[in-house]
Amino acid sequence: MLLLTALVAQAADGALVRFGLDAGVETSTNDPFVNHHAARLGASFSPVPWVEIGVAGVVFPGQLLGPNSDLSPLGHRFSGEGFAAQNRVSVDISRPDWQAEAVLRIRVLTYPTVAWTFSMGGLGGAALTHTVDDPDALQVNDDDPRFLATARQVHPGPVAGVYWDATSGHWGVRVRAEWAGYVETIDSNVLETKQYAMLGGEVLLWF
Amino acid sequence: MLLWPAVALAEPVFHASTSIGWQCLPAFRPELSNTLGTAFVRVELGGGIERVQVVGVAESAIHQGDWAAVTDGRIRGDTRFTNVGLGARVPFAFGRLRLVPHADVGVDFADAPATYWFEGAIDNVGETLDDHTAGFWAQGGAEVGVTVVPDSVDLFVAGDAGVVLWSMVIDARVGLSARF
Repeated sequence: MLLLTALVAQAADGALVRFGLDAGVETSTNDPFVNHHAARLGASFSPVPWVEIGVAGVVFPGQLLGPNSDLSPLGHRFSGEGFAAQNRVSVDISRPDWQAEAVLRIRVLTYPTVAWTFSMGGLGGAALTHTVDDPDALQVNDDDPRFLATARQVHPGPVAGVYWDATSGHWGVRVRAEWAGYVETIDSNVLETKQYAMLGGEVLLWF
Repeated sequence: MLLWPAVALAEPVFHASTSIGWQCLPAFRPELSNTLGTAFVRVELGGGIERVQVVGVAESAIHQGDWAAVTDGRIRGDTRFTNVGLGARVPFAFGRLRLVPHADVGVDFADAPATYWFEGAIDNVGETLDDHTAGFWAQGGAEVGVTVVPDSVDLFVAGDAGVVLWSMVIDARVGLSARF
């Protein structure tokens, strides 16, 4: 039986305050057609072991390659490539290319061992997501003013999720499942609510 | 006047919480009834003493509806919200159970990015893109929680009612609260 014990309460003193950096990768798990692989760089402030305030920047390199990056290996998933080729349609016209987020993480369960400390918690906060529309997928001219008006947008939206981490001394690793949602406009006239379920992993450095 | 010595002697308490929930516009507003509601995330950071705390509150939300607009100061569909303000919390503890009445007041920033789609103003691209609205936000409610890490972390459910842009909203949420 996996034993998880509650984190023992500790007094908040200066010795508990930590700053951290993290770097990792992530991908979406709820889009069967388009890859949303991303790289992440973050920083955290932890006033006590059970609370972290984190900020992070995320880039989606497959989308930064250009508006036609859906044709690259980083674009469509296998099923999406076949779907698009057979039906001559794009499965996703507007895709994120970068994101900035700020979250609060609260640790609820900790299992310490001699070498490692395993724990899990919940997170919540907000993100700014920048999206780029694909004129070819939309079958419009890239100088169409209606297309251009909403081709690149920044969308505020909520993020929430759970995380598991293991730390040993200054180093650690974290696995994170996170939901991010936003509302966007495509071609100035189509309104879409997007929901991404991201799964990611990071290497942590605490000091 | 007698309160001030008590406050000065009390141990400071810091508070942080995050929660996720669903917010609805009541159906008794016919003009709003096509709105399904919104998923939202709320974050609180602040502190005070054990019995009274003042916190900064931020909420990020996306309303889902059949159509979009923030017109005449009213919420009408797919809309993005960011609420920021100040809240007051008054925690009560009953063993491991905690009851926390609270009230918030602040500003709501909302925008509906495609209003003109429904207004028949498709030729006015750019003019109607700037459909941003800022308005009054206030709500109150209570958290009911159970302490999962002694003296540190609570798991709670909460309900709130209030106004956003002069439209009444109600919400339910679940989250984690930390004190230190």
